[in-house]
Amino acid sequence: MCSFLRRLFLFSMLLSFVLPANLSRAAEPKKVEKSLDLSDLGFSAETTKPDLERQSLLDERTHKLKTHEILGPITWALMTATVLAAPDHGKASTLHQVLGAVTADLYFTTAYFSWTAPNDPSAGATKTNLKIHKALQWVTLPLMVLTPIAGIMAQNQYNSGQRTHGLAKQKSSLATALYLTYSASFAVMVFDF
Amino acid sequence: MIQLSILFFVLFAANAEASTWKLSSGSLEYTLKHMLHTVSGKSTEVKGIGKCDPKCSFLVAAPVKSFGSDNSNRDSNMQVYTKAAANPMVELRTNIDPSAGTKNAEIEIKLAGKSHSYNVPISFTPESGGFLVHAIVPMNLSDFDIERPALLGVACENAVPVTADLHIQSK
Repeated sequence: MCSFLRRLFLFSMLLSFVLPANLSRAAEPKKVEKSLDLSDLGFSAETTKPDLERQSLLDERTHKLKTHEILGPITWALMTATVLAAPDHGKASTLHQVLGAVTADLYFTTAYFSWTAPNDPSAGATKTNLKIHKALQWVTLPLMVLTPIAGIMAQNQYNSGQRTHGLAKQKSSLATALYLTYSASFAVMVFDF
Repeated sequence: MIQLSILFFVLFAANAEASTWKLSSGSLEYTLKHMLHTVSGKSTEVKGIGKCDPKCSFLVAAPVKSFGSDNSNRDSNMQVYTKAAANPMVELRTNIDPSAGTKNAEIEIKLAGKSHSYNVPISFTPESGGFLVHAIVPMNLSDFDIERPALLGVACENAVPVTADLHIQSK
């Protein structure tokens, strides 16, 4: 009896060592042998060498462009609200003025993150939609400067009892052109073609 | 005489087993899906080598920055997500005996400083002096701790299948 118990104990001990090891081995995927080295392929040392300086440049670039991508749609939403709050005729509401000011601030903040993002010297070809997006900034930028100036001038002329004239008279046209070009600039980045 | 025959046979057999393969051309292409876009990036700057002595071992690699998707900003972002400057190469390793037909094999991918293995069917189509090797690796970004890129607050799909089309030649 004693020898039977001893054998049973030894057998269970053996199982406890062997069984889990076998089970874990079965769950693991087969290891791929690594007898070949990257240096066997003939890539230049420059290609295979890690470049931590470039990694930090890329990280900074992406951080800034990500912020640009987040602020861009917010600016568009605020611009839409500014257009909707615009008066048909006469004095502009405080809401329209505040929304306009915040939109202008956000526009330049959004642009700042794009302009200051470091360039990637090894970047490949630029796609058409990105070229259009970049080109449209030369339309939206002057419009974003002129529209608020025209708005302030129109407000001052209205307050002093004058009929709007000069640049102030073009306020609606400038605002419409700005809204359309900014919307196009936003749309080309959303809808790929 | 018998001993000499055995020695000759052993040497001949050993010689017949050993073979070297080289990648003459090929491409690796990833496909990334987003709610609004499906993007693919391809590299033809692929190099590879294989040795069978007698077990076969293949290594295929490409610089991560050589993958182009026709959008420099996106490619630049891809290099950030994959930490391409710190880990400039993507490596594929497998132990498969090249012969016509399709067979399952383990492919280990090293990307962004992490390795992950996939069991996938690999097809070998005979062509002059070698094979056209085709495989689709069902790669996931999470397998390599790569953050999923997002557009307009919506993240891309985790699955990024990689298609390998490789022409290997026996040396």
